[in-house]
Amino acid sequence: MSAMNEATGPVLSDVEGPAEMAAPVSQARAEEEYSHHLLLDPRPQEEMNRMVLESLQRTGREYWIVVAVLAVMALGGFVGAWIYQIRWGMGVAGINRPNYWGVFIANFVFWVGISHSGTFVSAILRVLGAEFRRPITRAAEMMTTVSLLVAVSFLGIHVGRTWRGYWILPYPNQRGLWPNFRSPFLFDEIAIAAYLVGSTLYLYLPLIPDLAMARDRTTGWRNRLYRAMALGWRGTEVQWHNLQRAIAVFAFVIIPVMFSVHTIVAWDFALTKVVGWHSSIFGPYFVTGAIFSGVSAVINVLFIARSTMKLHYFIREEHFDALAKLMLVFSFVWTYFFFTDFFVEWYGGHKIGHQITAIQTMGPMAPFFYAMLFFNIVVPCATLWSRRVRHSPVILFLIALGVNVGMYLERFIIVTGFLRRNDLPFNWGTYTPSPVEISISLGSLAAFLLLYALLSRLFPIIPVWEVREGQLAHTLRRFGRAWVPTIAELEE
Amino acid sequence: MTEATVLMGSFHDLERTAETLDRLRALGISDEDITILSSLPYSSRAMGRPPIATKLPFISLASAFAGLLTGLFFTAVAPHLYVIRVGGQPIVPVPTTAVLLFEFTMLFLILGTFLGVVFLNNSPSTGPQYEGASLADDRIEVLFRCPGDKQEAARTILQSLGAEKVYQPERREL
Amino acid sequence: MTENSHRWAMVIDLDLCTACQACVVACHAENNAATVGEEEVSKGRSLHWIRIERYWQGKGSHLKADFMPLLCQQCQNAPCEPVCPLYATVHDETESINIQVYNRCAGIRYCGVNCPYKVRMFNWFNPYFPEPLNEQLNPDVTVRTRGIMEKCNFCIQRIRRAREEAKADGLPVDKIAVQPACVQTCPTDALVFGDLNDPESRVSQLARSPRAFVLLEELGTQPSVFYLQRGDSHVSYE
Repeated sequence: MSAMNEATGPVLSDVEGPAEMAAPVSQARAEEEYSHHLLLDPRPQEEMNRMVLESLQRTGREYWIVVAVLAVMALGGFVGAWIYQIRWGMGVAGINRPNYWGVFIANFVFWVGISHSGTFVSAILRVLGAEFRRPITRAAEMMTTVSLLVAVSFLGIHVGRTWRGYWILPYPNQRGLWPNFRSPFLFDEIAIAAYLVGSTLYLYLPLIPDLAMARDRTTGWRNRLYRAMALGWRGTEVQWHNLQRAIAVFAFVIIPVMFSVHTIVAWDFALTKVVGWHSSIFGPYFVTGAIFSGVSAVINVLFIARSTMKLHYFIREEHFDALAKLMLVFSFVWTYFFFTDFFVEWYGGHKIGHQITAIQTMGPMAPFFYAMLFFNIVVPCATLWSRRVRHSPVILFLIALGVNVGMYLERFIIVTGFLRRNDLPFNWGTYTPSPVEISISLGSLAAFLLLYALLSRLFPIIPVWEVREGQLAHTLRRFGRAWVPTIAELEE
Repeated sequence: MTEATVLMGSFHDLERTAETLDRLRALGISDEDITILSSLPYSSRAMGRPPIATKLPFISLASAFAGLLTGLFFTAVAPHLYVIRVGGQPIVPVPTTAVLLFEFTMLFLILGTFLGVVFLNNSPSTGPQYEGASLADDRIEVLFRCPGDKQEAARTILQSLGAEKVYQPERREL
Repeated sequence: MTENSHRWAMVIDLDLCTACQACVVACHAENNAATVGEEEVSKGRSLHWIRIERYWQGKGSHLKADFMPLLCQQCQNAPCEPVCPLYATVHDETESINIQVYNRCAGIRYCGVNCPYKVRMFNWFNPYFPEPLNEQLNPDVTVRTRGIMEKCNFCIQRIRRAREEAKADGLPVDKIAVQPACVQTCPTDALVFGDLNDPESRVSQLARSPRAFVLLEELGTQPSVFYLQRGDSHVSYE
């Protein structure tokens, strides 16, 4: 170092006199400065496991009150209204001709979109080596599984003869018929099956070591449950090696499945002859929208989980900051695809295409359209560039909630709005969601929250071994006069 | 085997574990007789162990192929069993077939990998098959089969490198 | 095309149609299609397999209506067919029309969404036939329950009956004469039905007329329903 100084001439500190900036920082002080980063603030694994187990078993009175309220809303609003609809017929919903698809399909697409949160956080971020994913992957993956279950239930709800819905499954039957694999609904079925199985197993695999940990530290019914689910995990070298290989395979495989699932859901619309739906941009547009709403939903869920389960050690401002940056980026990408779709229809579309754009800008869909633009574009772009906003979980919670509302409105406009205008003007119609549809939609949100609340108290929500692995990999090293964090690549 | 007992040492440190393994190997205990249990993944390179060969890629590929065949059945064979023409499309259209082949391959690949890893992780391996004391801490446990004449030397190695516990573990069902 | 197959088609002469709606009533009677009531129709849930659509022109004493009967166009490249996951709507190869199989339908309504003419009807509730209308039901046609899509099928029950009678009588099957209920009832003979496979049939000749057009030709659905332009051609599509 000093040799270099002699070669380049007088050092700055010689000219300006003794300054604080020349004083070297000690390692201990550097460690303290960096300790707001989770991965540079190591604690013994013992302690982390204890924190996670405590959060599992922390079910106070408030928790059970919330669960009870959600259960009532889900059972009454979701299950009850659905049974009413099965008994009396689809006529209790607001759908008609030409609006054969209504809020139920919009809900289905919305929940499939939310499910992209988990895969994005745990698979894409893992493959890219983004270390901030470590404590949040499991919470996000749990969201994926629960939201996919809700999404699939909407497919059942929207079918006129729900009790015959199982015919869509390929099994040998007395009709002598396999289902029609040329139909986009069959692509949906197999793709969503692959994605549901994939993301549930991808949730399960990294959970196994934590289940083994919980097995060894609990008694009673929890012990029996974890013993059964830990599948004989002992932590041998071979087991870790196989597990990590399997997780790597899953991470790589589930990314194309994720892209294909929402593309296929988009193709439910794009493969039709409906004006406004028959657009080749729908595939990427929907995938982007899904990741956008998924990342926002992760922020929402993490905020609630962190405060109610006291996970402040694990989930810190840096995680919200990183997710907020992702939210901003995807706001841009979503805007790009939305504008492409809208602009192309507006400029070069045929007569009915102009109806589609007019019904959004000036017609009955206008309030929803402008609200969507406000929540999806204006709010994120106006706020998320600010570091202070990104480090405030409360503000981010509200912004993310707005994004979810905006993305729901986008689905609502596409599914229910575009069907109102079609090729023959005497076929134009209107659609208003009926009380039954509204009840089922709100009930589905309650069902999602209920299932998530129950799951989060059943299984350890923080992958402690992954966090600890990250902490082992992060050290501070000297870089000139400064101490900088260094990340080692520990995996084989 | 009858005269060999199983010893176990519990360490807090990767460095000491690797040093122990080196010394045990120098003592003449082969890698096959050693099992390492840990609460965190450590690569075999970090431990100084021989690389692990696993059959998992083969299982994954075989399942993916099974998925491809299933997809081919549903898209190319099943429509010919009861021919129904819809929408002027051919009986086996290429684009729809491509989508479904991809999805079926992925579905079976995923399932096969999971079942494969569960199966492989519960298959016996060469080292001693004992449960560790507790997986919850930052600890690495070294279990090895030690013939009677080397027991004393092995215990010395473990203790000199600061093993927290040195004992003969009981066989316990998980 | 197998032997003894037909290519049924209908020609609607818009000059002759008076919008009397006799065809609508006849279709309801023949096919056990329920009347859903005024309130449901105002919500857009009628069950008319054939309906008279109209546009108003002008104002006041110059008010005119341009109207046309609209029924399932029986497309050769039907967009409703490939999207049904249960094969509930398929192409009948012998009659060359698009048929609806009620037993397979689970009410997913994808076909209804994809039909550009919006001629597919859905049973939103269980149909109700108040006494004594239930005694008028046609035994040749299923009564559909709620949750099933339905649409015009060129009175396939009449076509099948004509086929079977021809076979029973030993007459050639490809020369059968059939009239769906709407065609039979039309007082002005505005609706003509027949086999396009027979180049000499009235339908074939009218379909070749310079006045003939099909709806939404640019979509490539190849309908089997041909319209003949009326004199002041307000409903023609260039």
